[in-house]
Amino acid sequence: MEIPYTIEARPDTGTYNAKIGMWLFLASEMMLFGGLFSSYILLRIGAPPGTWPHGWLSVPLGTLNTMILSLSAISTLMAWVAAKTNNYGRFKFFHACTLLLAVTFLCVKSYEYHDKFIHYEVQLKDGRIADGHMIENKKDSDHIVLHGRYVKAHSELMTMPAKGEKLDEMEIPRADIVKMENYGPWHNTFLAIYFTLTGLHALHIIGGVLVIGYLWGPGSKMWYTNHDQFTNRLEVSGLFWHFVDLVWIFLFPVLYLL
Amino acid sequence: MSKPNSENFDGYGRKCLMVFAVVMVITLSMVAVFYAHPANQHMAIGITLAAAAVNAVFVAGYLMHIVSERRLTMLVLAFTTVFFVALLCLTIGARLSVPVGTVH
Repeated sequence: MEIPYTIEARPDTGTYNAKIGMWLFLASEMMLFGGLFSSYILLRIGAPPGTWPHGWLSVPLGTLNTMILSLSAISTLMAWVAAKTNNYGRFKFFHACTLLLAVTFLCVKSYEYHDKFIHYEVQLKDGRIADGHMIENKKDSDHIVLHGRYVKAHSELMTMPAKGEKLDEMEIPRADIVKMENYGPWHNTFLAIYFTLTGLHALHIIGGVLVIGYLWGPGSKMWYTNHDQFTNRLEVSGLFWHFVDLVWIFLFPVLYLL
Repeated sequence: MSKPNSENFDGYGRKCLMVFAVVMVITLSMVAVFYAHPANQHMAIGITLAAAAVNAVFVAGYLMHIVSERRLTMLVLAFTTVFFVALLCLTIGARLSVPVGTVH
């Protein structure tokens, strides 16, 4: 049995079924991210003054990722245009660009995550706090080595060290440590919402990569067997990809700049 | 942005690149505001969020072709927007309902 309205428009909706289905899915996605953005706003405005971190994320890397994702949105659109204009070579080229850009985005994001996971806050018995990136943490050693700075109060950690501020290698005996914790999602409210929002977004990127990769690879056989339906699949996957770009357009300023 | 045909591939590509350029200029402006450390933080937040909204309009309007979408799609998006705004209002309302001087 043939599935109806995969190519031609359904009379009552005015478009083919997959497209209206994708729009409904994107509407539900808007509410999913909307709920999380809403939580972010509540946590942010509810935080006591001086307790919400500022400048913990790398703005240059965030800007780079915005550029990468925006470029991939253009390349996925051009792949669809290539299919519309029946140019197989251009379709393959532009979709390969989209995949490469998406993987680059994920690599940059992984680097940012890694940077947070090796960043430690160490509370010492004398009341000071050592904050910095872990250089050495051998289980059989009686000390750890951090590259960072000492601060007297926790509130001093809410802003990252100013440019030009000297950071030292600090050898800290394990016997002096009261508590040691990295900058994972468990560290504080900001990092919890940061990892939740960007992690969910990254999962969407991975999902998009799988679909786009399939359409670029084995799925592209349909170019010759049912070209119109294949073009529609490209359009629908493109809509999803633009939505992912749209979410990042808000995530970047909200998490990195405000 | 009109839908493409075999004659206007390059023209369509140029329009897409223009949208990309606009999005990047707006993004870099937001970053510039961040590094400028303006004295009025509320104004900086307002400018940044307004710039992000303009970026979103360009991506949704032109790259997702919302400007030329069917009425049903518009209706779905309008409903979602209403619910989305209501969700944000609930959040702000919950915050405003906390009596001054108390801990939530």
